Amino acid sequence: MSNQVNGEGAAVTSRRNFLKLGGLAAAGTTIGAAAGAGFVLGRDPDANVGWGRTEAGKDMFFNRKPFEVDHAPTLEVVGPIERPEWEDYLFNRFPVIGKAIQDGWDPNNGWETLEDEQVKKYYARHPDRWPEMLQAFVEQNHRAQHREKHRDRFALAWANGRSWLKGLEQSNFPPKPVDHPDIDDFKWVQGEPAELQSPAHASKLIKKMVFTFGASIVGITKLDPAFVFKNMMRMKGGNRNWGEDIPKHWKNIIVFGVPMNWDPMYAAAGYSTSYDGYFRAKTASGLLAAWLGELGYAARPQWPGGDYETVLPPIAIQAGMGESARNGVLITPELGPNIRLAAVITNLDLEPDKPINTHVRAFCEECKICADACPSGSISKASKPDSVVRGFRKFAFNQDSCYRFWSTAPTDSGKGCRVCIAVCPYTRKNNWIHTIVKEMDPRDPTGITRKTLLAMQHNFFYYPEAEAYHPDWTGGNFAGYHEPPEWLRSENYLKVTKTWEYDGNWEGF
Amino acid sequence: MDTRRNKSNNNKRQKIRQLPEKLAVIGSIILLIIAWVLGGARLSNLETEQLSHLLPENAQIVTTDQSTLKITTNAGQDTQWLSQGSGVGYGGKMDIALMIDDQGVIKQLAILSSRETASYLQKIIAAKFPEQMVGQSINNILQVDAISGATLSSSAILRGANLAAEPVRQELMNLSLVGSRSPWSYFGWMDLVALLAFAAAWQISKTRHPQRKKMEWGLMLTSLVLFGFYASALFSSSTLGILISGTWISGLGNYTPLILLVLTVVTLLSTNKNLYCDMICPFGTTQQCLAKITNPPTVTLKHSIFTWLPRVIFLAVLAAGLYFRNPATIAYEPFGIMFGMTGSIQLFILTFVIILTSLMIYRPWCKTLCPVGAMTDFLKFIKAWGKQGLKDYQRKTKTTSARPANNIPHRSLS
Amino acid sequence: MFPQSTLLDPPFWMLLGALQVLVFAGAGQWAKHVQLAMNWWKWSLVGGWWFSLLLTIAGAFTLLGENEGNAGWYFLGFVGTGLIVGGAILLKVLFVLNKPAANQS
Repeated sequence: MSNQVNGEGAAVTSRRNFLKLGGLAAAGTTIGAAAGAGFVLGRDPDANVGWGRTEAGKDMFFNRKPFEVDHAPTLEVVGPIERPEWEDYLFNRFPVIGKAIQDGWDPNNGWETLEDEQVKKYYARHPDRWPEMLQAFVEQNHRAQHREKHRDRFALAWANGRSWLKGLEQSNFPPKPVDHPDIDDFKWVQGEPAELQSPAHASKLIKKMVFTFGASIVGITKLDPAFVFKNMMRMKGGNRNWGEDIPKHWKNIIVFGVPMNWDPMYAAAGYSTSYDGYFRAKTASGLLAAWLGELGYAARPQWPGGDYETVLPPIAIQAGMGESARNGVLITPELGPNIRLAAVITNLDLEPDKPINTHVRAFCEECKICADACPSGSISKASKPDSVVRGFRKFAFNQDSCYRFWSTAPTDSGKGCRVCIAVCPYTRKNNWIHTIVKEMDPRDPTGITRKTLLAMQHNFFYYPEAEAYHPDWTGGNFAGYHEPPEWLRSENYLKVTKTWEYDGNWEGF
Repeated sequence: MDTRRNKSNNNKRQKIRQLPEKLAVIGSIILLIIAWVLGGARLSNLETEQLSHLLPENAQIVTTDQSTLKITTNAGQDTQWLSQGSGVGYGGKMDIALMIDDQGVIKQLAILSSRETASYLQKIIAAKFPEQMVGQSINNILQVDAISGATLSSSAILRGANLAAEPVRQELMNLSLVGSRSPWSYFGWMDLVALLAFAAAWQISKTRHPQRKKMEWGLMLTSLVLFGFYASALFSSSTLGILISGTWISGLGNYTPLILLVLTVVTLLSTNKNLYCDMICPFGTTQQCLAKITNPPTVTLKHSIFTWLPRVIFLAVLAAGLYFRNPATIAYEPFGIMFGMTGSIQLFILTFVIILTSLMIYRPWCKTLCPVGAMTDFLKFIKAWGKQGLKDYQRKTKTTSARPANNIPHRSLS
Repeated sequence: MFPQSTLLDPPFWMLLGALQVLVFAGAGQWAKHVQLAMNWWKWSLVGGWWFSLLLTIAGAFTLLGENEGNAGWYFLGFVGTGLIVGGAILLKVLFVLNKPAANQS
């Protein structure tokens, strides 16, 4: 081999030397390019699902077909199924208690002396949650006293949240139902129903329309009465005495969601807001309801923050959008728990989707990151689901203590926390490393991928202490899972003096 | 290793006459004694101070029963117990205090004193291990899954909490759930393996068997797996601190590192052979495996700073450990990261630098910062010095003494 | 490399692909220089190693790019060190396997 080489001329030697040195230089350049391209891909806003590929339906990039099952593993029935009661919804209880306090009722007398029977019923079932609810009122006052001192720091974040809130509250689209559902749900119906070629065609078209109207993930299912509230019906003049009836035309439900803007969400609690997600989900529900009306079908939109007759997360699970997580919310393969749901109930015949099994429960059982991060300790740390809610096996979750931290958190409205969403290993942008993992883990029957991932997740990633997420007036340092994005840091744009330090993950340089 | 020993023996006479080394030996012993004496009362002060933080305001102590206080507040309306117990962790005894209400529910848990390595304790606290006991009722044995990578420390806290709960449990529920535990129960089969490993190393070092190299590698790889990846039982500066401070008398969560250390010292003093570094140390084997790949050169660092820096660091860590009565707090060896994924970011970087340099230099850790090297030098020097002193003394008294001059063990002169 | 840019990204990746030809041509010359008898499976091992190294570096820097600083450096440290040690082993294997082949030629 070497003999051949020796006989050649100088030109060959120089070509050889060129290749040798050029190859080394090219290897060095490639390594640099890998680092640079990697960094830039991590920064790429194209990875922010829900804010780019929505119309093409490519936010929903995970192929659910191989994972379809007949029964959702996270909707395991272990007892008699009960429908949710009016008082199970915190935002029904909270104003009642608030009003009672305003009217002169002394909360120190205990929940037993409340006038409202339904609220009393709830706290009779969960007496340990009552002090948490009371503390929430105290914390609201604390926040009101201390909040303004931190306006310099949070000015841009609060302005962002308030803008979306204006959009959510000031717009009357879709309008709140005022009449009996038999009338109100048909208010936009134009003439005779258009005939669709088949329920499958209907489902396909509806999904396309939902994407076009701005939602990221969509699913369709038959409306299961198990997730329809009793005694809750939006109409003029109160809704608490509706009873247990479900209108006959409520056949199918199209449920869909959008993510909250990623970078503010990662900087929960103080820099994040749910209102962007709420506004966009609400708008989509109105557009879809209008579209169904144009084709001649009934439509009853359900939208956040509180315009519901249904509990949407389990419906989304039935519709194959995702599965139930440790922190009690919906996890989807694409968005993790970073999803805000809305829905439209209709009488149009649709082909339902099947629930999926991507082994979220096995993941949640081992992970526990959200439970460790929760600033109010509301999420169960048990290794197996340790609670039964209305007949379904779930991880225990304390909604009253969760709300206590909402009231504590350094947002100016005092609504929301979102830390458990930010720290969840499923809450990852659509860039190549996470998408590889999201495709691999559900296909690995051995669980090795999951265990490796969780080992890395627990050992490599930085998580602030649960207490650190608190505002300084309750002993924290306004930490976030990530530091806030550049465009929410007021010192970058406003004439303010920065007197604070950020606690959270950063670029690492 | 052999050449090094011969060389040092050849120069022995010259070396032991060196005054700086002698002064350093005496100085370091004095420093360690001073550190021990000055540090004495610190720990117990800290403990009472922490305990008083746990007491609620306006608390009245009703009964005092050794380590259990019954406390009433609100003019005798609320009753609580403040109780102490201890468990045995990596560095020795850990004292735990519990605040228990009259329903037998744990309200608070405090670690009063600990002799654990700081990064391990941090790992446990970061994993919210103690918090998981708060809210549990003492009518059952307290149960929390140990934190992997810091098993000894977590089980020590759990044991301490259970012992602290026991008197309250008896008072409130007339229950007795925790049995006593003899110090012997802390000895395990790994301790036996440590003895066997040394016996094997001793045999291999003497044998002239043609397969000796293979036997050596067999032993090295076995201890890499057992003492390294399985038990993470390498001894370090902390272990020597534990040994000389005596905290091991009251029990240790794991005696294996201590046994390895004692055996190393004994064989070193009796035979001049460092069997541990040659054939047992898992980190040495790690470096040697890496060296096997690239056959890197043995680099001898001539400058005296490379000799003295590790000695000074080692001495400082030992003195600090003795002063704070906490010999295992500081760990600067890469063993924790290598075999247990536990340690600070600085240690993490150091570990990877060592692993990568092991491909370019033969056993870089052993040649630079390893405290065992410093300890070996120290012991050898003392031994040689003592022997020389004995010789001189015998030479002086030769006329009056009937003893033959060759009462010094023959093999140590070779 | 140039996100959201319509014009710069495709040429960048083409150029990078072309560069790989030079990398392997150069590696071929080095293999001849140190007299390694390379064949298809040896080359695929080397190529696999090179690809893994690039993915590890790119992956770590993606984590840095999305503000997961801690995770990025730890990932680079652990997997990168593993790969460098693995590369050294691979090289050793290539040299060891080379001996009988070199005697034959």
